[in-house]
Amino acid sequence: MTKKVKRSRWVTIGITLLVVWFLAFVLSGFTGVFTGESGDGFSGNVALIPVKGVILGESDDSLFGGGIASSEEIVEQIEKAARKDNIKAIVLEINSPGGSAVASDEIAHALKKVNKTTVAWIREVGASGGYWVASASDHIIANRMSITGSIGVIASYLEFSGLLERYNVTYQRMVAGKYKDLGTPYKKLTPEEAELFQRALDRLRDYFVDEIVRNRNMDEDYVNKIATGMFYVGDEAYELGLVDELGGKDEVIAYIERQEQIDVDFVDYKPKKGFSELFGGVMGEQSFHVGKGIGHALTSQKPISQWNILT
Amino acid sequence: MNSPLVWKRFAAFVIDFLIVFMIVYTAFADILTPIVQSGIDKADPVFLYFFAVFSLLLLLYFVTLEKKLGQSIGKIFMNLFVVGKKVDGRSFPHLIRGAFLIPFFPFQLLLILDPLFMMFTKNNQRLMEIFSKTTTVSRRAS
Repeated sequence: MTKKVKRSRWVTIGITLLVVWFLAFVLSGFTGVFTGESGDGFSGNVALIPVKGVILGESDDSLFGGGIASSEEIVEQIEKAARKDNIKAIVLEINSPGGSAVASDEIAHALKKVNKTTVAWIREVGASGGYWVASASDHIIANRMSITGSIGVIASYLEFSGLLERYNVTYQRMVAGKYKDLGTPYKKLTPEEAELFQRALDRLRDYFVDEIVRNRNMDEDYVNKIATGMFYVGDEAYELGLVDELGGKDEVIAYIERQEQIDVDFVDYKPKKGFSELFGGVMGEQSFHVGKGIGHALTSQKPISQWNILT
Repeated sequence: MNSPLVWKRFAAFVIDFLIVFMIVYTAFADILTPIVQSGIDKADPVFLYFFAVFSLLLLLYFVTLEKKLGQSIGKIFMNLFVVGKKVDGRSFPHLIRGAFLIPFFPFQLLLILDPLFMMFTKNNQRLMEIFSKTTTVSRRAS
């Protein structure tokens, strides 16, 4: 083989390796887009998990959806952070007015299982279900003006029976099981139904109080006394023992550094939708509205599963 | 032309694999190193994405070099050549040859089927070499 042919061969090899290297760098930059994971999610030693919006079980899959803190996704992030050896502590950044009791309990339960330092950092609001979640952490830090507390349950709804009567519209009651339409907005609650409904809410409230008593190691009578559903401003909550410290990010960092003897390096742990999920979500939602019709969505009666019983 | 020993072909593939792996890993080092240090979760999407990118770039490497030179770097060291009818200047036969590297079903099945065929063919041809009408030899006919 001549020298020229040999040189030409190695030039071809060099160019090929250069192209492979270049493409590898370009494609590595798209890791987050295709995997839906934070590109820098694997460095850092303190996981920062947001709990923002109304706490519900499932996420909002729409392209521009937001305002929902999905317990499914948050639990996944907590479990992921708990598994990673490089993560020494978990901070829940809470800005939530509450939400579903079940979803709040799921997050609190996952947080209690973690064998690392956990901190709840309450921003503007950490009330009701948001406080339920915070109570499961080792240490709660809130701003003196944060809104927190609101230990209670709400299931209020608008009742339209008067309006229907005014327009000569009749609610045709067809049920098998006398309490099947308990809570329907189209008829008044009977005293018996109201009592049953209230009993269920009281029971949920009792669970909520039990959780606070256990998580915060507080006296049950005392918690019952302050669990009126009333919200408390941060400094009030501190005086009542509902939060451990007043402050913000600096105080969160200082606490973890004291506990773990590390220099805190936050890393975001939040579910990011990859391109395929975003695209699928958009197409799915469009198909739903075309198929089902907005009119059907407005007129269908809500089954029990869609009652808004919230903490 | 004579059929090269299987170990030579295997060694050539290992050399090529390691060269491309080092190049691709360098690009992903910042992302992968913390995962490797903390323990790889097999279902980790970043790890799966890296594997997919690496496989496709390895395929690109083989297709480009075997099309242009008839040899990859590993084959140069092992003195092996890719020959076949109507392959000069064409990418498609080399793409077929390297189909076992495509990281999606059903091509992943070729990771087992492809080398298995070498045990049953006269010239130690892989399954995809039969489909692409190419073969790997230890001396190119002049």
